[in-house]
Amino acid sequence: MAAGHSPMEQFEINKLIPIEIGGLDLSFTNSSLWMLLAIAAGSALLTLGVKRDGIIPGRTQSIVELMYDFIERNTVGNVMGESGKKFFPFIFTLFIFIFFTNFLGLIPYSFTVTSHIIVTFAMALMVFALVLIVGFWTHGLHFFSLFVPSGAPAWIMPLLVPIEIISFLSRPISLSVRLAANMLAGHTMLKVFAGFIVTMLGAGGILSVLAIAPLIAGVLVTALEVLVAAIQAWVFALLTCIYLNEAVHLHDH
Amino acid sequence: MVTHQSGPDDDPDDRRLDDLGRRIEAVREQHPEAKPAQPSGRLNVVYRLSTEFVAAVFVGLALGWGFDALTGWKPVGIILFSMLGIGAAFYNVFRAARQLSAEQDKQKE
Repeated sequence: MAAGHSPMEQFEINKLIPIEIGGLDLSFTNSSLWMLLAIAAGSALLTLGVKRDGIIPGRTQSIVELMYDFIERNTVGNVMGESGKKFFPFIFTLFIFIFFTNFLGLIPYSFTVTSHIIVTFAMALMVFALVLIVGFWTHGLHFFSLFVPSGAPAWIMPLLVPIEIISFLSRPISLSVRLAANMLAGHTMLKVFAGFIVTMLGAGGILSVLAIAPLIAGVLVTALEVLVAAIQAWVFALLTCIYLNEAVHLHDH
Repeated sequence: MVTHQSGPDDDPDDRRLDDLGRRIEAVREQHPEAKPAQPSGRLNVVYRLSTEFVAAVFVGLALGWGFDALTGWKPVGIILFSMLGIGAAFYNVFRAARQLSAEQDKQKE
């Protein structure tokens, strides 16, 4: 029976190697392990995939080229144009990391790193800091004009400027909450459906026949989760592009 | 024996590659809409707009709470900044919706 197995149990952090330095808990957890595995898997695919470097790409090389092309041309190029070239390595790394943590999280008994908001928030803060650095680097104090909407009358500015600032500050939150909430909701849903199957089979009689319904639902949700894992990684990369583009070009877009 | 720079006509592999490139270009021109589709499902839109909204309200509340803690004017900051936060929330949703429709237009092109 599924008793005692809460659907939220999969998100628990366990210390694998306890490390404590100067009162700080720096333990190597299951989260750290799956982050490392995601980096290893991403690096392995990207390096081994292009190792043969064939003119006619093999299967793995096709996957790598599709991913690269999708981010380079359809995302960074589409949003930022020429100015996006220097940000492409950062955005592609971000995409690959999120993509692999999302996908590895779909394996049963694995751990979804991106379901923890602190992880996604750290990444979103990194993007936020980069936007600030790029903005002040290219425009200096003129960067503040981002908060002054163009074409609005002056008397409404005391209202619009705080709104723009709040909107700007809300970006790292919406960016991180969206990714974490998607992962958390999807994986909880999977676990709940799986729990239904076990409970209904255990109940016996007509209920064990009806257990086919949550099984079908579970299969469908798994398919949906594969889609969501890819889409959310891409949305994160896309929004990073949009924010960086604003920092580079301010209003003229 | 220095002629490494063989022309495209000398190397059969190069010629085949050029030929393939031309054929791909020809097919691409015939099917201009056959670009890789960008995934933007309905659920994705819902998530994107709702998080934009909630995040701005949250930031407004946090700023108001901080303002009250600093100045001691207890309800003033929270009332003022949460109203601004709600304004920013609508503004965020409006802007995100505009971005989404711009993406869809780009897809249709």
